[in-house]
Amino acid sequence: MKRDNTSTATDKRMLSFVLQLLSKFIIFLLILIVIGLALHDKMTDSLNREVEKFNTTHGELISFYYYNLLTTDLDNMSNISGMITAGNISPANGALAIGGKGQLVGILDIHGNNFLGDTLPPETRIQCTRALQGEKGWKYYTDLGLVGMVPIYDGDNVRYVLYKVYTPEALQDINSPFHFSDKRDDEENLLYDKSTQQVVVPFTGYKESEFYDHDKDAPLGLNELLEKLGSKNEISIFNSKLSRDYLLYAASIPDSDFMIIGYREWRSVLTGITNIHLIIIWVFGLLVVLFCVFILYLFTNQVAAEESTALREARDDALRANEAKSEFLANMSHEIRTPLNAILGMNEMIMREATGSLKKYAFNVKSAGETLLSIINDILDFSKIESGKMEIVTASYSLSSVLNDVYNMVSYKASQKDLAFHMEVDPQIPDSLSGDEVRLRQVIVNILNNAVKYTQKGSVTFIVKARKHSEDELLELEFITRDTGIGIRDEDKDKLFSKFQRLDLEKNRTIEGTGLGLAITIRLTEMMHGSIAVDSVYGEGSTFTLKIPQVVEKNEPIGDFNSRIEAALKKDTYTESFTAPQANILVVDDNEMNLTVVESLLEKTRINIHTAKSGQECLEMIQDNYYDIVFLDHMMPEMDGLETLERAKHLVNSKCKNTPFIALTANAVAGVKEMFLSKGFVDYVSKPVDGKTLERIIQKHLPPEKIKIPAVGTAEQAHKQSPPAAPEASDTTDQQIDLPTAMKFCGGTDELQRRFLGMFVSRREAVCKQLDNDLQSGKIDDYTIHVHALKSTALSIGGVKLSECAKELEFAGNGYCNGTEAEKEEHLQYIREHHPQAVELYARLANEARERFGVE
Amino acid sequence: MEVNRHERLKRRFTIFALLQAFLICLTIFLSINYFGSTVWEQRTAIGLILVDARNDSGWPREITQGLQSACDGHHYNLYIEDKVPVDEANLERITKKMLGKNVKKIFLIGDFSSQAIESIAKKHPNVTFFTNSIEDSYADNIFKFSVRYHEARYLAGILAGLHTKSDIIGYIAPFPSLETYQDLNAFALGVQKVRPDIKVKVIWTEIWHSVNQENKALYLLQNAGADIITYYGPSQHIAQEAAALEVDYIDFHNIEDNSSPHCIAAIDPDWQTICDHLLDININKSLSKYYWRGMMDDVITLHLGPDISPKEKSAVLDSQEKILAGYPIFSGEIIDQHGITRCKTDTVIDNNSLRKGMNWLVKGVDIIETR
Repeated sequence: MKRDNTSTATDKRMLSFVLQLLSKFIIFLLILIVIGLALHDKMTDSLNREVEKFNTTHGELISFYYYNLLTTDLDNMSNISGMITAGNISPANGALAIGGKGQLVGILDIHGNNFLGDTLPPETRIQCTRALQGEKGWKYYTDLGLVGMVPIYDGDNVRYVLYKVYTPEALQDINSPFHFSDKRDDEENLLYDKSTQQVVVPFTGYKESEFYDHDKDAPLGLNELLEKLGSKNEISIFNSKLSRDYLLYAASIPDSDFMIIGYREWRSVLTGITNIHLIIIWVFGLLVVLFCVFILYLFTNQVAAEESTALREARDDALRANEAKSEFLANMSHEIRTPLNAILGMNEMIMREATGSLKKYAFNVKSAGETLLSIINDILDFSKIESGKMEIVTASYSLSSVLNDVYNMVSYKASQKDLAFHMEVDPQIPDSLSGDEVRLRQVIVNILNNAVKYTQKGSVTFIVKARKHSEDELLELEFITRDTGIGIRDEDKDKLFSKFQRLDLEKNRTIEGTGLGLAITIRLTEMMHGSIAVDSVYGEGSTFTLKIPQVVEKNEPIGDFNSRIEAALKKDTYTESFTAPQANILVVDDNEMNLTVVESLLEKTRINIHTAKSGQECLEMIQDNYYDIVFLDHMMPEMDGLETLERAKHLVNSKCKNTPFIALTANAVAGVKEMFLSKGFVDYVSKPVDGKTLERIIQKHLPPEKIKIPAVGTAEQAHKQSPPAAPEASDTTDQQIDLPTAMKFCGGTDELQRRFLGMFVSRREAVCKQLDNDLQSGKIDDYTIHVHALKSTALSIGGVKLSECAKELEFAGNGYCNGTEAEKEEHLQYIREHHPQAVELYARLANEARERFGVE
Repeated sequence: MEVNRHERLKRRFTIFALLQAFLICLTIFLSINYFGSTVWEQRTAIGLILVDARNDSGWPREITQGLQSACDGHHYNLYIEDKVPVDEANLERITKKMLGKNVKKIFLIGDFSSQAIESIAKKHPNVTFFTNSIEDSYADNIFKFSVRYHEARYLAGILAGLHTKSDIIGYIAPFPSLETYQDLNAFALGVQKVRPDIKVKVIWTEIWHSVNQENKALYLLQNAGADIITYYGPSQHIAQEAAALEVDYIDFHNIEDNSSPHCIAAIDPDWQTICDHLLDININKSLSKYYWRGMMDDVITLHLGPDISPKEKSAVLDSQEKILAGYPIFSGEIIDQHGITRCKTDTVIDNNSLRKGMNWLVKGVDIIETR
């Protein structure tokens, strides 16, 4: 369902994104189109104007043609007039000489009357006067036609006027000189008289052509032409409203009222220029396409960016999930470490007391426990590395000590698998080095354990060499681990150091492990500035070469190492490292079981151990007694370890003002040590503690005068201990107490088991009352802490069902404390329903303890 | 929080991008409109160089006003330089100044010498010079212009002949020249037409324009018995002085609204129309290098005063109608003072002879020349 919702949301998001892109793209395209259109308009406009300019010259040429025609005609008439004046020709002959087809000729006197030829209408009188004043010229009269007049002189003065008339018919005759014989097909011209506003010489078919304006009985675009002509001599216009294909032009004929009007095809004027126009449009079109492609490319990038946002979000989710995982792992370690504390602690006791096969069993328990612990440690280490909290702490150490530990840890495992474990240590290597001993040991052991783990038969050889860097104090230690195991495939080598990766699963399915070992190893090696290399032949074996630089403290060689190992082998039984009968220590823990474990582990040191079950009790006790050391549990109800310490420090009557407080916690997550130190603890011990660690810590913090070191060899004691009771073969379905579980947590001792069980049963009423009170008063947080304690104590005496029930209640309690209002109600309901069940299980367990083990 | 910041940045970026796109589009549109736009085309510039002040009554003011109106009608820029000394160096300096303003046509009004004008014109062949005269010139880029004053002056003669009581009419002109002879002959023909017995006394002031000389001439004519005064000259001073002396006069220039009741008529050229025609002339395309139009072209008329008698008015208007219908003033038999026939019966004196050959005075009217 959720997946469906997510997918719908993604679809919607993509749809809106695509729509956004599309709208942006369309906007861009529209802008481009608008610009393109504006550009096209402007270009066409500019082009038309240029065309107009080109064509103006053409109009000028035509007008010049007419001008010449009219002037030549007048000149001819002037010549004849001159001849008449000179008496070379009679006026009648002269008039005849200028005449032609369709033309009227004659002579007028100074009053405008006809002296020869036809009488002209009165409107020609002005023209006649002008001719008499010496101005020859042409005039057009609508009904008469085109009239040319020149003066005929008598001496210095003018006596007559010689005239010539082109009748309208003559003007329209295509054979008349007013019609071009070589006129182009793509143009038409006509002669227009501005004073009478009449067409003087039309072109053929003028009135039927598209250039005749029927409404105005005038040439097409006459008004526009006259308006633009104004004071100019010639103009040309292109107006698509008048004609889409033709340019209009007009040119005045000098010294006359006439002008020519012409129409010329647009394309014929442009000729090649249209190609330029087309090229520009074409290139712009291509640029638009290019731009679109570019924009699409940008949009694609945006899509990619959007996707990368999604990826980033996914990565953040993954990181959060990883953090949650780390937290989960850290919390889990706490849960697992608590019972493991009991197991290993009790087992330590057994190992001290037991002999023979019992000791062997105990040793097996220890081995298994340590394996489990190492797995938990691996997980913890990895979570530390992941969160960047892992630090390399440099300190002086003895290499032989490290190698000794390594040998101890590995040789046993090798012998278990009947593998030969050879160790060759170069005797010249300096023993005293500086570096992180713990991590070095961890890395070496990891690789060696791996070698042992993946070798079924044959041997594991561990060679330690060193190479001194001449330029500085660094010594490059080289640890070579060679095994005769299954080897690694070539294609698997790359996966070798990745986390949770296990190779060749089919063959290795029987081999346990988290797959974290080598991943931690490589990270730690890198943190120590070292390197790791693998050389392997599949099926024949592998060689791991680990190189780690370390600083040399003293140049004292390590010497013959093998002989030391032999000696060490003989020390296998527990010996207390010291006794301190005058020392007093206080152990504070709300869990009695843990108090017992500590008491038991330190029994042989003869230290006076006082215990307190709460912070309050602790505060009371430190006011009454002086303690050399106080071990303080972290997680306690009412007052936790941190608060207790805080109060203890400020307690006026405290006798333990200078006493070191050491934190005791099962909460061994990364960074917790620093937290404790910052809160005022001098040291920190993680549960489960082993005897040696506890002793080491105490030895470290006890005043030296109170410590007595036993003489070597005398401390060894053998205590007989009955073997652990075999698990009872009975129907266990109804049983509240699971004996094997109980034995695990009690170190396999009947006595301890009964003692712990007795303690557990005796606390029943108090515990139940406490829980009832908590629940009734609504203190669910206190209830959760108490039920948490019940969970672990019940498990340690084998009360698995009760423990499970308590665990559920604790979970609900935690849910109540951290949840929302709705969840609170739900969790509280759960607690109310299941609390009586826990009480009943506790009662049944007490019953069973009485009946089965006789414990009251 | 982060999301908001991202959104804000995104919004800012979008606004920025839109603004940029808008500016680019605007620039593109402006660029498209800028290139080849007619807005930036230079207007044609015309120059006017005057010897007198532009507001001086008579030709300076009339031509300046007429040219200004014509230029306005053509949407041309007019640059005027007045009170320019008549010497060639100054004319050259002012011409160059005008050329700096991209002037292609220059009007020269005043008594600049023909040589100076010819010389300047030859130095600037791309400029057309318009001068107020009808004499021939040698440079191709000089265009002469004048008005057929004699046509209006003929009508003025008729009016003066009918109006005079003392039978003596006074006429003042700067120099005897082709133009003044034309004018005086036409006036005399007009007078002769109605009163062949009347005398026209003429005084040449011998200077283009001088207030003292003109006052003196006026005084002499008045003393000689002239009861109507008319004149030829660039200035209107004589008319103003005659009005002050309460002598009837016929003005040679446009009359103002507040003109004297003694002004019985005024010769009234339409300088705006004339300048319109002149501005339209392309000297390279016209065969004729001069402009000389008259009443038939509607560029000059005789403006009659309000106080003339109906008879006078009717006689003037009749003759005006004949001229408009094509009657040539200098036609029919015309004999000069020396008895030489200058025009035979049934012939007409043509323009060319008028412009270049009228260095005589008509007989029939007693023209008394006084120097």
